[in-house]
Amino acid sequence: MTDPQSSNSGIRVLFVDDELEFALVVSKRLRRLGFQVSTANSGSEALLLARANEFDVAVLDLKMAGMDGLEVLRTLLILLPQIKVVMLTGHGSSQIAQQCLDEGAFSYLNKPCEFSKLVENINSASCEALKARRES
Amino acid sequence: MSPELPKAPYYKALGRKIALAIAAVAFIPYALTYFVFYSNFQESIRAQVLNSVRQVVESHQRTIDDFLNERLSDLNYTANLHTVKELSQPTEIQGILNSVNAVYRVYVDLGFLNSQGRHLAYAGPYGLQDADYSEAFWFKEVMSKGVYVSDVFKGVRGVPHFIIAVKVSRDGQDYLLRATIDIAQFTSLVEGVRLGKTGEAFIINREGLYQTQSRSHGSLLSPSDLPISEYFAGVRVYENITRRGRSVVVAETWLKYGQWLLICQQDTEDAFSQLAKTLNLAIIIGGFGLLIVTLTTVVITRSLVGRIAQADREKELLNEQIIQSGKLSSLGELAAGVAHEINNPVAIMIEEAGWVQDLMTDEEECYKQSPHREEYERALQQINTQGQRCKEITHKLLGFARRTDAPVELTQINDLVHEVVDLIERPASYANIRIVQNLAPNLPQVNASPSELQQVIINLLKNASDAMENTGGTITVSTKAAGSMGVILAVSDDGPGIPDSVLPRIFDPFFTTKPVGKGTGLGLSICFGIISKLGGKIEVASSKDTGTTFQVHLSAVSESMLAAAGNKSVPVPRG
Repeated sequence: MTDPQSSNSGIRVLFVDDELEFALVVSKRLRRLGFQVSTANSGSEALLLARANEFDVAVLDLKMAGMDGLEVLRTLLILLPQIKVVMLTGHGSSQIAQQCLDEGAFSYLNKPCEFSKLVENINSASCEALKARRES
Repeated sequence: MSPELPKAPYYKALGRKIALAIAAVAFIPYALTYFVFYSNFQESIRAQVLNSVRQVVESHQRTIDDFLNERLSDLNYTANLHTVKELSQPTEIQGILNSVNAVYRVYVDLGFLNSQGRHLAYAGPYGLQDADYSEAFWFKEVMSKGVYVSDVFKGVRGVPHFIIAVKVSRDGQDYLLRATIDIAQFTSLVEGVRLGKTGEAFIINREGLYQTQSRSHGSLLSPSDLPISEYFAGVRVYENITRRGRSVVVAETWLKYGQWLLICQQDTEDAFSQLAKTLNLAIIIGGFGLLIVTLTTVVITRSLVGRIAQADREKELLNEQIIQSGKLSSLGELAAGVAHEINNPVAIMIEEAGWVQDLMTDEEECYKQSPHREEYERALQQINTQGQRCKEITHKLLGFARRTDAPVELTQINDLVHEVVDLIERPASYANIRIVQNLAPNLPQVNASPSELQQVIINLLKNASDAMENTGGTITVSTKAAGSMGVILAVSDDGPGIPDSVLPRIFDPFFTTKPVGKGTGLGLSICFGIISKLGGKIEVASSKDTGTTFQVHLSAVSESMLAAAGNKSVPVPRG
């Protein structure tokens, strides 16, 4: 990733996590790589953003105060049918992972996850999203 | 610690209660039946014995009365059959004597007397032709009453005898026919009576003189020390104590119009000897029954208390297991919570370090000159590395926690071994114990609760490492497929081995060789329970100084069963 910015520019990422500091630092690192990142600290905030803006990829925490990650996932997929959602959570189990994938999540990652892996997932998700948009 | 019950007094008390209850239930009806039968039986036998004595007396009374009546009728008949003239002829009298003695030799002599008490004719061995009986008591009695049977007396000849006489009246003249009765013939009627060993019959007259010989009391005509009762009709039966202190059963009746008393007397002990024998037998049988009841009570109580104790032990073991698994389960929940909570801050730490690395990459020019540039990078790398380590730990904890309560499912033993060894490896290394994993690839899965199997593996590994605590050594955990349907898990150590004396007991609950407080003695017992429940078996082989191997055999899940169950594995991208 010597010059990541060029390939990633234009990929719109919605980063949702109720851990403020986590959202902050990850969004900074993603922006550095050229992603257009919006952060939301709750499910409702994420949905507000999704209503007003287009996003290619969402990175979604599963356990949040207020609205549950799965609920946000469902609503997001309704609001933005082409969006690809990467689940990123510290409260995982294989059952929940399976449930997320069944509900339409693109992939599922456990916190803490290597940054490169997250970037990889976002990239492949955006490719999928692009493909889906072209098809439609 | 031996598997002795901690509550021995409790079981003793319980045993006592059960034994008492059983004994009461068994003894009371038994004792009631026994005593009712015993006393009824005693009563009836007693009545029977007394009755038999009574019957003896009654029949002899009849015999004796008949005998006397026959003799009198002999005389009457003779007197009526012959004229006075004939009776006055000595040859005629002799002829009559011979003819009446033809059947029984009961008459000693026979005499025909006139009213002056002089013999008109006499037949007999004593030569009494000239005897004068005019003053004799019996002569007067006959003359006034017509019939007379005398008591036994010695008479003129000094020989005991008795006489019978009848008055014969012809042509206004009174005569008298008199006969002496053979005392031997008569007494044989009475003396022949035998009852048991001591029973005898005898006759006494109103003056208390023996009219027949008494074996145990006195000779003929000697005075008796028995009390002479007033006349009564019929037979009287009673028990008495003789002057010599013997307890006797007595039956008595009056004969000969109240002149003679026929007494039948037998020692009580003798009379009731049959009863005593039977009662002794009854007592023996009763005692035997008692013994059987007691033995049965003891046996039943022992087996009951044993079973209760066993059930209690099992319950306790079960409780222990429940507590243990509960402990593991709550520990697991706690661990899961902690793991989840730690994941977030660790993720932030890693990301922040990554961010600093990002910035350092971007601003390389600034740090190029820094003498500590490599240190910065190393430190940031360390933060990342240690963060990853935290993640691994929490993952293990989560894996452990998630399965504490898991039901039976398809389980890969190799995975469990990995996890357990990861947990135990480090503490074991402090004691110089190395753990070698020798796991067969493509091991079939088994149908089991992973948490339980994990417990088995933990227990086996912990036992092995405890055995080598002081010496250090190597534990080898190996798995292999056994045939097409089985999986074998083996845990071997090269420790001191298990002594032969201990080997048969190692799976017993509460059996431990560890010091008090160090072990519950449940580890292997729980392993045994878990493996048995899964339909498998656990075996041990041990030799001194070479080491110990525990082998767990489990049946594997076949491919067809797998297909039926559906593929449960989830394609989760590794994070």
